Amino acid sequence: MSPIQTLSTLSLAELTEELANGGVFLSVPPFVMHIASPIPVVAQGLHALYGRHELLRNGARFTDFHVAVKSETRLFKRVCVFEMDGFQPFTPLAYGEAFAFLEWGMNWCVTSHCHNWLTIHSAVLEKNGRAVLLPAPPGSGKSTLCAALMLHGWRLLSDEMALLDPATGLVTPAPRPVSLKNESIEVIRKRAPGAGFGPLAHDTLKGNVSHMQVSEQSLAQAHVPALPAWVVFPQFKLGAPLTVAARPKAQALVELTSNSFNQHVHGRAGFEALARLVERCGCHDLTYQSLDDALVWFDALERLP
Amino acid sequence: MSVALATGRFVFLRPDDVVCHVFSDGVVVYDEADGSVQALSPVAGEALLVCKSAGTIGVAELAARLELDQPSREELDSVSALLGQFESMGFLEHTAA
Repeated sequence: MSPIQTLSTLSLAELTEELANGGVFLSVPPFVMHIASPIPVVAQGLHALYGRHELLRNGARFTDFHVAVKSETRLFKRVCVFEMDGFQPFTPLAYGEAFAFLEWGMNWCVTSHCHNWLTIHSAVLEKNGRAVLLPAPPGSGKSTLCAALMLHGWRLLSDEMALLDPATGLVTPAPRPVSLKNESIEVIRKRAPGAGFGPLAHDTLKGNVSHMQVSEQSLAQAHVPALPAWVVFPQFKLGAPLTVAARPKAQALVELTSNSFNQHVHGRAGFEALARLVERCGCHDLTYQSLDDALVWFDALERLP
Repeated sequence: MSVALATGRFVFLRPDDVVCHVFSDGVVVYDEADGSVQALSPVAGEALLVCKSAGTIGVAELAARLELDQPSREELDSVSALLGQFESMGFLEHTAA
């Protein structure tokens, strides 16, 4: 059996060339993505963040999504557009946002099409066989906390979406780069000077955005699903001491259903799957300012029987 | 939101569409007809479950099923208000029966 070829075997120049001329087929567990783009920053982002991912050279494997980020000129301004199978689901973004657009577009592909799972807007991490879901709205510090936990030894299943199997209750890993915004980028860079970061997209709708490479451990175990044991609703609050409160399970279930992208597709079975998840999980509200304090709390949580 | 006190009898609409999940801290109701999900307090949740299992119910009967022994006027008003809320949520409908 020949060893797998990873994206890192291509130089940046080679990758740029291949992306511009037909694209590359990349294993992005649990999916295979065909990615094409003539825009250099897309190649830079993939080269920086997806180096450990398998590059698929034989075309026999099923490809889940054919995506592209293309350059266009509109009203004398260069912009980028995201395509899936030639369809453009979004309005164009600034040219410099092309790599971030690819990441957001790939998220959309999954949440809009993969209804074999119940998808929940939530980060998911795992330690010692037990997973924690961090569902939270933008601005709650979810991704920052998620990145810090990953650097602290938790396995990342996803920064953006929990792929819940409604039948088994297991979450399928989909480890991709962690999307960091604004001050969080520097906060996490300081904690992990050696970590890989993608290009910085300035002044997006979410502010400045940069993606951080997924840990080697998380990618190596991307085939191992995990059973949720906790649902933690994080809230970053400047100047606040760390506080934890039990979240009533009835409220937690309503919150999870509102954070689900496709519970309506699954109907009653989806509701019942989420109810079972909440039933067996500890549910908490976590307010924090200090990431270190939050990590200590997660360590204690993980040590509980 | 003020809810009118309910009088008379009510019939539970579409019982097969309404799924209730009971937790110790409340009841979550999923309505398959429109996909809505709502959390009720434990007492309200218990009342809804009673209404659902009874099929048709009135204020006094619901109070008795909730084990309110010789309910006061205020308790009956509270039970009546619950029925009114369930009616406004689309779970119940007045019936002549």
